[in-house]
Amino acid sequence: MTAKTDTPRMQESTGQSLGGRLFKKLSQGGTKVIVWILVVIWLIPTLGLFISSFRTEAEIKTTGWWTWFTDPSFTLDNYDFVLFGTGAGAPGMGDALLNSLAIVIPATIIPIAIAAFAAYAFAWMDFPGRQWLFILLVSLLAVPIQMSLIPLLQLYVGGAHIGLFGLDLTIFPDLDLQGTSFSAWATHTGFGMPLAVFLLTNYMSTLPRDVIESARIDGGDHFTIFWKLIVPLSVPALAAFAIFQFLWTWNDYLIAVTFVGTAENVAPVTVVLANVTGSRGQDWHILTAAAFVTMILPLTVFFSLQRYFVSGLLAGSTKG
Amino acid sequence: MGAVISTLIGVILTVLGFFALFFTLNRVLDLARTQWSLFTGALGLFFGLLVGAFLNGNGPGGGLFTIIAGGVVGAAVGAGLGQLRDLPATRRAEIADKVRPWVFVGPALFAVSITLIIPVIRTAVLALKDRGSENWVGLDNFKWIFTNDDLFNVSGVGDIFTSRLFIVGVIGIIVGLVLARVRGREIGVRADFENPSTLGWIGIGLTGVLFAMFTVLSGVIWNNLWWVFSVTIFATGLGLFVAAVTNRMERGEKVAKAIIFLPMAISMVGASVIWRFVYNFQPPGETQIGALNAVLDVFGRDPIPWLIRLPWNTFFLIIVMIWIQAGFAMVILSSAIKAVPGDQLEAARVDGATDRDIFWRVTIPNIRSTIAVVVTTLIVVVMKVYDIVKVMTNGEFDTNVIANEMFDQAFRFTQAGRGAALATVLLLFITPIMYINIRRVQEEAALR
Repeated sequence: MTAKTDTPRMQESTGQSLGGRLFKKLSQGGTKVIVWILVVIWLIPTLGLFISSFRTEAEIKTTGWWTWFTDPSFTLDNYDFVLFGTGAGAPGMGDALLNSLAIVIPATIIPIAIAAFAAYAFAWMDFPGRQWLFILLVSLLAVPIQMSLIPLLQLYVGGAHIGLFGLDLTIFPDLDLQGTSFSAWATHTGFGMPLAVFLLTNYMSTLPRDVIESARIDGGDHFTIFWKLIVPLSVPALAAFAIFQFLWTWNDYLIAVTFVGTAENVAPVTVVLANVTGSRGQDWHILTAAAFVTMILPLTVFFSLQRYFVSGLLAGSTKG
Repeated sequence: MGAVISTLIGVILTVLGFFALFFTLNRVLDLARTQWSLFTGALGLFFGLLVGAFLNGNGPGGGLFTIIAGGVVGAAVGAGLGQLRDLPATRRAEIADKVRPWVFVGPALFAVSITLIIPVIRTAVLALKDRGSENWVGLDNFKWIFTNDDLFNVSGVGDIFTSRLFIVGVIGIIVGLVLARVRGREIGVRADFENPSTLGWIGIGLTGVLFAMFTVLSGVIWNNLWWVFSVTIFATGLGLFVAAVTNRMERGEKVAKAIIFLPMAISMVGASVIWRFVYNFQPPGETQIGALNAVLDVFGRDPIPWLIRLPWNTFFLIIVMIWIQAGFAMVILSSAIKAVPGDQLEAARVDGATDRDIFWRVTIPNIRSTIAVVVTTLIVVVMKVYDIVKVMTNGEFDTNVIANEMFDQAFRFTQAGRGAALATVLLLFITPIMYINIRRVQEEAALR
């Protein structure tokens, strides 16, 4: 606000020499040039993949993708093959896209619903152990998910049993959940919970106190206030977490490969892409198109909703 | 398509059912005020259903019938007890108020307990047991980690003194210390460590020494630490640099930031494919289709098999993570820089400070806590790196990391104990960060 009016005065008052100013200009220009070089370096890998995905197998294998600029060519065969191709070696990305959606949609919506209730309680209700429980959730933010993999897989495969007084008691039946999308989105629901509760609690506790208190005085119970007042006011935070969770679950590989596995009818895009990299690591016409197929949706979401994503990122990390 | 539609319907039903349950629970609590025996009856129903489900799973069986019978009996007992023993209205309202928060936090606590709290405790226990989780073995699994040459190897430590990087690093540190002393004398203190050039020399020197250390030490644990150290330093540094410069650009700020930020949207598996293409290696003499080897080709150099050549191949994998995380650091730091109070910057300018001085002596001290947040977040993220290593080298050529070794031990070699111990090591590395996070939240709660 003040910068605009002060800049000219400043230059007068410091009275830099011509050489000094020239040096300043140059060094400022220098850093900008470095930034643009970085930007180009950052873009090149993705650009190379993108261009290659539209070139034929023979072209990719005999010339570098940069020759495309002087000798352009275009084919959609690679995409056709990775999405809809059948027979040996076809990755079946079309099915994988649907499998991914079957994991990602529940894994995004369900945690938001659960976390919103909890966040309201942490922000606006008083109960013993509130602080303590919130701190427990915050500390879980950093726990590596590797700590959960073995017991969770045992739970999904064999259920949960305890031996008490010589009896084997079943607490959770063996539902044979490994290899189902349920196992993935149920896991994501739990793993996303600490961040969701944390983000939403921080957001909800900044809502104006008088609005909520006057609603209480008017006889509104907690459930009505939550539903009619808090949820509509929290839409930005809910959206921010939704995008976060969407990108995280769509891009996840570890949970998918551990619990869902590689079977054709359930494997999501990341698992299929990793498999193709393992089995056809030099077939770049397939790899490039397959990799790009996995990126289309997240990139679209990312660029169209970047504002929410960034605000979620800021809320999630600048606060803890 | 059918699968997605049925999933969507399933999700909608699940969410609706969940909301209905939540709504019902709240209404049942309201009953405690008005119709006490209905409330106790509902409570009885709930516990009856639980007991029925338990009996169905253990012993009698009987399926749905047992569960429903349990519910009916429970409801009858509950309602009867409610009739027998009524409470004054104020006491009932008190009970409803006390229970209600738990209806709100209950589902979240349940989800977290099942997927995180109980498994974490169980993994810590499994780490003390053998491969079949049958016998206690004490700390044997941890002993295995730190005595296995593939995991933790310090035999190369003597080579560090002949490493060029090490020598350069030591010189850097010495120059930095001398500079600090000289500058300090100029402004009348013992040593000036807040000076950009002092810090720069010491930083470069330390990085050199640590890199020299990581190149001579081998094993999964050291690789992991190399990852954490490099990504944290370079992603934060690059992010800070780009944020500081683009914030002052009149044009192109948005484009530049979006491109640096773009890898954040890509899965690590996708990023690994992208970079495998960049690192592609063809035998000398053939056309290089990988960008890096093509550049070497232009300069008449032989192509390098980037992912195989020790010890730097680990660092070439690390670059992928830096490429992803620099955008994260940039976004967070950029908003912090923009929030630096304008009057401080102005005051510094009036005093005749240069842009460089303003950056190092006003901006940096102001965003110190944000830098700490970025660094801790990156440490947590990078410590458990898995996808990149798995897809690019599968941990071969001495590039393995803890998470990949953990997965192999636990799920490929059915060594549950060793896998659990490796996961526990990850957790132990993270513990200081958890402590810092908790402290920060407590401070914020105190401010609120």
